[in-house]
Amino acid sequence: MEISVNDIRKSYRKHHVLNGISFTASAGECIGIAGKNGCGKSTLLSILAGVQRRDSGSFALDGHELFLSHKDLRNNVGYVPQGTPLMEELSAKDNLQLWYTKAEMEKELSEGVLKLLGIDEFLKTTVSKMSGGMKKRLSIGCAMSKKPPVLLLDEPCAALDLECKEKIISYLKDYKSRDGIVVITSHDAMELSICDRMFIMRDGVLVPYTYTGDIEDLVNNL
Amino acid sequence: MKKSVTYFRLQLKRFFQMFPTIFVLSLVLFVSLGILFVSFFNQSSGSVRNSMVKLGIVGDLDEVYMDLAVTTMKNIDSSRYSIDLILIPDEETARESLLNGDIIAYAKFPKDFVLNALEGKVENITIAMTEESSGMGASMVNEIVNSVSEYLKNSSKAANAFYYAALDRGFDMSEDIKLTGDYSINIINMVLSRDSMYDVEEIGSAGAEEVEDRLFCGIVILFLLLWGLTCCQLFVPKKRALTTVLKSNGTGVLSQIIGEYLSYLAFMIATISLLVIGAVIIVPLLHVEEVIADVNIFKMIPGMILPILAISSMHFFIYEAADGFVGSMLLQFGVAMGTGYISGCLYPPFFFPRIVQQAASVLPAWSARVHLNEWIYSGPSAETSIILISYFIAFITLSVIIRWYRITRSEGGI
Repeated sequence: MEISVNDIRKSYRKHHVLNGISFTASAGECIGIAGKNGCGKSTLLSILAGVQRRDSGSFALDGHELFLSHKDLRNNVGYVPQGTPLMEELSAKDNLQLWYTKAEMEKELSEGVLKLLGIDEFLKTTVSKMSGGMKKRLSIGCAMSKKPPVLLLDEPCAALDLECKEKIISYLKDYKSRDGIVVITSHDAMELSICDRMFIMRDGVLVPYTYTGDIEDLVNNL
Repeated sequence: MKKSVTYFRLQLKRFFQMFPTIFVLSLVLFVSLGILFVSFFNQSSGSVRNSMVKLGIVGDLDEVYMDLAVTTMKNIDSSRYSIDLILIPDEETARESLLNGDIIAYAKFPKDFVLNALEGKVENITIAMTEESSGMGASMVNEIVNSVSEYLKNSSKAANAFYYAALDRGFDMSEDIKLTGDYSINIINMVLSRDSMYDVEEIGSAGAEEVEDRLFCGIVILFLLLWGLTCCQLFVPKKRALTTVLKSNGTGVLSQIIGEYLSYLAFMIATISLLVIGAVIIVPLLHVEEVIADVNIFKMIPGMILPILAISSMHFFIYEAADGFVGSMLLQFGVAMGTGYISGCLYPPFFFPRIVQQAASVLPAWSARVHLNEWIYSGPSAETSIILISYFIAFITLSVIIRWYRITRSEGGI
């Protein structure tokens, strides 16, 4: 299984945000994208998730163009934005009902992705009373409802404590081990540690970068 | 489709979780506007319309002509601002009554005012009133008392001129001084008996609607307009991340808006129904039935459907368009009060300049008020129904466009 992103372009009037983004990723691979604030990382992910329209470009899974069919796109791509895509006044269980049938939820809570994310620990807690880490785990749990082979994560560990980050990273490692493809935007050292390949987005294009664990070097290259 | 239904159900659950808070806020708004309605009703209702404006008269109560003068003045006006003249022995008591609000003004007649007047001596009556009483009624009182003063003085001058002219011509007037005085009083009585000169006939209020009917419908519509404020916490902050993820998973913007709007509408109807049921139970206990005596509640409820649709969709659109808690609240309040005010929800529309009336007549608040009025008191018209349905469709369409634009066209992360 392989995804192929080819020559994605996007501009807002005269502001060219993406000037031909291309990369490929194989099963079990994690692609990290870093870059300055406002460089277009989130725009790229929202285009790949089918939220925003691209000006041009393609996104294929095993040679099958995903942009041609919304159904194919949503069945194969899970998307977790920076914000919290949850109803704050409702419980975790209520929120999961939007994405899972009752039977699916019970199964996933006992042995599936929801169990792995530890959502069963706070199933009845209202979202507004959850920590940032719980919310993020629940968001990932919602995004995984269709068991997509591709997961797009927009800075998933931003502003989370170490324990929460560890839980999310642990889950992403597990997801990768099951041949999942992860595309992640991040500035976080822990998140970047699970990336197999990295790019820096600069002037609307992706520049390959080898992350050695030296954050200072990464910052200098942004 | 299944996800859209689930989304609607969850939104409904979300709304009803906030029910206790929003119901208390709604109750406060309901009671406040109820009090406002009763006070407006009392100002304009028939029983109070003809109530007396109390005017104090300070003068020498033992003076022969004072009582006659007061009786005369009592007969001079039978218009809406009828005057009840109250004799007060001294100015100190009158001042106290004025400041307590027992009288609207008082007129102080100088000592031996009438006798002096009969002898041709000009003395002014002093009229005292508070700043609050310097309205239309007080102005009329002022005019009337000034008129009485002028009549007294001029008629006395005429009587005295006649008396001295007769003396100059050699008539013996020593026995006729009383007759001269009576002649003077007869002039006063004749001139001041103006109520025999005209009849007051009320031919209804300006415009097609009765004052009380317009007021009732106006307050109901104002309540609906302002009710949107109580739901601010349901719409702010915006759930942009959720709507974006929903869209990426196949629940389109139209489905989202329909699900959210229908849950808001259901919530609004449930809350208002509960308040109306409460009012139906409580109003008889308060003995204020006469204020809604003409209202048939079973006729009113179907008449509220289109106004509720138009106004709730307007709330929804404003929350969709505005950003932030303060911005949303200010916009909701401004639109509710502004459009409600010029649409005749508080004061009659003819109170405003014609251009404002023309502008207001195309607003949803105006159409909603007129529609409800027609439904309750005469019969529904197609015109207001079409306008309200058009507004409903327009607001929902605009909400869809705004959300779609925000999700698909805005730059940056979500």
